[in-house]
Amino acid sequence: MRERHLPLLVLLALGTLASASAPTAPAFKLITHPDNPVSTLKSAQVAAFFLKKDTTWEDGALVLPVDLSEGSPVRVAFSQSVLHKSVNAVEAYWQQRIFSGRDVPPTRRASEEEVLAYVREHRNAIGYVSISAPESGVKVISLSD
Amino acid sequence: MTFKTRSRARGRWLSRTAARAVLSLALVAGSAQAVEVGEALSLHGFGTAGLGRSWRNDYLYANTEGSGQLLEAFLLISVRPTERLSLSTQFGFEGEKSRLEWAFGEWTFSDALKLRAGRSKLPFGLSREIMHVGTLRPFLTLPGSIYGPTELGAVSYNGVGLTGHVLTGSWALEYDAYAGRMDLEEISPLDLLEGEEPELEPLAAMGARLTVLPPVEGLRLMASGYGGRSLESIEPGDDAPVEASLGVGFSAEYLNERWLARAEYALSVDEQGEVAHAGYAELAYLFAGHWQPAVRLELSRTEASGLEGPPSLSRHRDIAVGLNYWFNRHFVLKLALHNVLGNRLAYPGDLSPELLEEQGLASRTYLGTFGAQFTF
Repeated sequence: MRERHLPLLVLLALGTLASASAPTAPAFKLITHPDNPVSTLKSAQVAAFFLKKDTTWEDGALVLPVDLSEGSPVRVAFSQSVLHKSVNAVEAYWQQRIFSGRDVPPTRRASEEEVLAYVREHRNAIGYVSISAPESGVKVISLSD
Repeated sequence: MTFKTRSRARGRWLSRTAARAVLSLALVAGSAQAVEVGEALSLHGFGTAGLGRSWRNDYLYANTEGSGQLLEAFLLISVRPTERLSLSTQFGFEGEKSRLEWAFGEWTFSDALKLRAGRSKLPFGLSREIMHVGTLRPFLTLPGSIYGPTELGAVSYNGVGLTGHVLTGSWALEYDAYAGRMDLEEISPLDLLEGEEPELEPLAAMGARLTVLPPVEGLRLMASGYGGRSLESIEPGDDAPVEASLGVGFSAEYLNERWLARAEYALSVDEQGEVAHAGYAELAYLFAGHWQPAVRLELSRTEASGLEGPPSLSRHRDIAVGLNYWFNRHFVLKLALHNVLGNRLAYPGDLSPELLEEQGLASRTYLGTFGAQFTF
């Protein structure tokens, strides 16, 4: 009997551990590789890149969006102002896409340093970091409505 | 213990161990992050552990003895060997059974055109492709009259398909078109009364789904349909007129930070001319960040000339109320009560003409469910 209910108890413990409060949201800046000719992007275009509704740059190269992990306050700001969704809603969107076998979400990095490193290494990458993050080896692009 | 018994026992042990391995993987993954192995390979998973007790009839996974439980876990593996090619597969471990849910390759020509081949999830309605993903819905189980073992009961198709999406201004369109073999998994109490064992009915079918995303954040509208012919009825030299089975569905969904509203209607016609109408509407509201009350009304009715047995065997109405607690987007506890009228989906586990004659059939069923669902 005890063994039968073990998975339920494991899941209960799991959920208790995973519960977390939402942090406040600071500003962010968009970054690409210095060789990327783009210097301005519309907000809707960036949203299409990060939701993988548009997957190519103008030259046909595959866009490589890189996200921060779910708990990041910078991601909260980015999701609200560019994707016009909460991180929760974005996660629900990706659950739908992943489990119907349609797509996988952008690659994720746990820290801004890792996002910066990823963008420096990938010519077609696009990411976002906090306003105060260093800009060496990346290009900051402006966001228009 | 015979070899067959030992083999079956080993199979059960393997399935249980695999299900527990996926649950453990969820624990290790902290229930929030997929396991990303490099950029080309990703692992995701989801599962359910639920208990249920029904009164008067068995319904969904619950029975009147109170021993009904739902334990299922799924593991999805996606590989992208090149920029344009992706390979995906999903394994399921349900109770004591394990199975390959789907496995297909997809070649991307562009965002508007992708070609799939293999065994793919059936793109029908809002939830056919994500039937077991509990964190995408307010109740532990989906409405049985559309997503259960009914005339619309195919889960996947073996064949080829096209899919893609087009952005047109602030509107977006997604489409799916497919052709291949699909296996209908209908379990009908009328068939059980006639002594027929539930079995898969293979269908040679073609179908499509169109999804419209209007410029209203969170709104989705869908039309789905398929038509086909039973492979068992196709015989060489047979000049008899082709009798087709078909399924059609219309769906609408609205989601925002707090509200979830869904409604679907489906119609199916099988080769014997049996027509089934099914539909549901559900509403849920998230408050205080974690709590979510939910309600659902589901109706279905099967019509055909010559249907024998009590009329309740071809009807179904389920009014459900639920209360969920979301720890986060990936983990939820769900409690629900169902009041069911009709025996299309709720009937005794040992349904037989003798039982019907001796005890009659209770047309009302009550059900209580409690469970946890997760994704990673």
